[in-house]
Amino acid sequence: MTSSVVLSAVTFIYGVAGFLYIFAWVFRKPGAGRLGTGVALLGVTGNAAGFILRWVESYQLGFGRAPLSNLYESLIFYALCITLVYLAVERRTANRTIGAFSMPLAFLTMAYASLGPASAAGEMPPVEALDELTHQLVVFGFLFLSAGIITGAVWANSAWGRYWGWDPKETWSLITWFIYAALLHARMTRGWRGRRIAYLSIVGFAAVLFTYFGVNLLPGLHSYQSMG
Amino acid sequence: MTSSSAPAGITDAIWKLLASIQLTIALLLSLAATSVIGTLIPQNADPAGYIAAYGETLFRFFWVLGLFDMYHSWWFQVLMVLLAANVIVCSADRISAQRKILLVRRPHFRAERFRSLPEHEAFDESRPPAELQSLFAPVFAKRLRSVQVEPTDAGFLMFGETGRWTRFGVYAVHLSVVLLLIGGLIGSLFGFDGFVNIREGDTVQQVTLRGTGERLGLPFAIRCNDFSVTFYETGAPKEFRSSLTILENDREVLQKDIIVNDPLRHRGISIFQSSYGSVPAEEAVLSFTSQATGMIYTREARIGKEIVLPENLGTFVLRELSHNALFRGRSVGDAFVGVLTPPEGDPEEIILPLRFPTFDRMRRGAVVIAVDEFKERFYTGLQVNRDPGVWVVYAGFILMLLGCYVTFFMSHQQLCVEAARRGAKTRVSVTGTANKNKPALARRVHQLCQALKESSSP
Repeated sequence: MTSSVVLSAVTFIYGVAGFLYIFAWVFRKPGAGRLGTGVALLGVTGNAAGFILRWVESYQLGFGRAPLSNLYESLIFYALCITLVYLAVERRTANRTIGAFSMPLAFLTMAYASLGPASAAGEMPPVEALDELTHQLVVFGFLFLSAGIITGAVWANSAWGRYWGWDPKETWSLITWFIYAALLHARMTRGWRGRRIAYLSIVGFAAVLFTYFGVNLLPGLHSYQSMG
Repeated sequence: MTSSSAPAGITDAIWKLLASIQLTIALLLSLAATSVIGTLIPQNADPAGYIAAYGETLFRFFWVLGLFDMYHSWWFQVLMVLLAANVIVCSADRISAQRKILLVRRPHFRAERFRSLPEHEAFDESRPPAELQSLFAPVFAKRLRSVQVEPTDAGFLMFGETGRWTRFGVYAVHLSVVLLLIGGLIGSLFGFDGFVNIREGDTVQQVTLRGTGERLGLPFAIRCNDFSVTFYETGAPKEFRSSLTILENDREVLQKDIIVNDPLRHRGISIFQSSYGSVPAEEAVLSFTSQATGMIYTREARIGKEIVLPENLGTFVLRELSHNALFRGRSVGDAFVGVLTPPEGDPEEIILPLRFPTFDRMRRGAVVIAVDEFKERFYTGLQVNRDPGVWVVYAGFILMLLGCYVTFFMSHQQLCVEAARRGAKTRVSVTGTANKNKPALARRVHQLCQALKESSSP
């Protein structure tokens, strides 16, 4: 069985999980939510297996490398991360409403599309809890964004002789960093909460998506634009 | 926020502005917003292309704003310098305001503050407070710093803290940002970014600087011994490889093959493979076959040098190696082009396509000319640069990651235990406070409570 077969199955499984989460949320059927978690777990296992399988296949094709070198492969990894982080959040908050948003996102990611976070109402966790959750995820993301930019700069220095060149991909990752840095300062020292932080984090997330997808429309050195 | 001794007026106002977090947020968001421009307008391209794309008026407007090299424009640099000043002043201001928390040797604990805290766990104990104090002291000493004991009417209070230093994490992050900017400045002041094309076999000691186009001498010479390029089946280049030798005072000191992503570094200068091209061949070995006698004469030809042919066949001059030679209006690809001048009659242009060695026979002239051999030479395109600021930047990177981790995931925690005799029992309550990360504090309070219970159980 090849990785592409496994991964197309995963796309379908994520779709089913997303549907179950939405169904459970809209029609208030906790049973469907529990089933959704089971399906999401199956999907994430398949996603991880597909990722590893693709890695193994790269060795069989004679150019062994981690499968993170083009848009398709990075999307597979992105979907894997979304689902893993979501399942961890679900376990911590014991609330499946967010699954109605993150699982369809994982599905659409696998189906090579992008979707921003929709506005949410209804039986979401309490606003304060969402605010705190957003903050924790932003903090977590900010650390990894910094690490990502830094390792990228170190690589650029060893490969191209400069650690920073204002290439669109680099610049957009820095733009994202600026936005989240502003958010963290606003929250941690100015005490911003709720709506204003939510707007800033949506802007930050839009920058993440643009860094990821939009930059490919701009000229630059990074090779992720090809689907390969 | 500012100290009262600061001079009033404009200095004070500037200090206040630079010490404000509103300025930080405004600067970060301005940098984010303006950085977008440079990703939409291609940077440092040919002015003619800009005029074609934007028109004359818009071009002038963008030019004045420096949008074609915006990350080096004065206003963008001003934003960055302001951010650095803001980060430094803010940090100094906050450290000064918090010096009683940050820099004090023996922290002062206030009992009333701990008694009203939400993080609270308690248990009852039969031993009297005096006995418990001697049991609790080693538990505190092992887990916490700055341990203090305060007697009360009904027993005692015991304080301790941990992680005071983690309050400096955020200042480490701020320092790292300043280091990145200083490193960038060092690079632009004391470093250079140049390029040079070297033909196979040639040696150079100068490079051309990007941007200004000035020539810069290197402290050593670079010789390109050989260049090779391999292709994928699709025709896309797979690998460029240059064999380079570094010479100092005509002495070979280093030899290395470089490919893309695997540079050569010498004396702080890095040499990267960046492009390649071919140099038009200037010499070829030609054969001249006389149709009258069948004799073949081989001659070395140089571009522009006249060859006098034997048997009174005239003269031949090699003019050029053309990459797109035309024969009767049709392209024949790479070809040498020359001029044959017979003793009588008009000069005639001769095309010698490299792909068709017998091409000239079709002319049915008195002499048939063919290319026996020629050597195509490549040149390698190298990027040569030096950036002495890179280690400052790397130090900034490490400091930023460590600082972020400390700031986000560690905290300054103060804990307090109160033992108070109530009738036949002693009530032991544990409370704590932290500058952030409340869940971690709750765990700490719980762990301390468990450890105290264990220490007092017989």
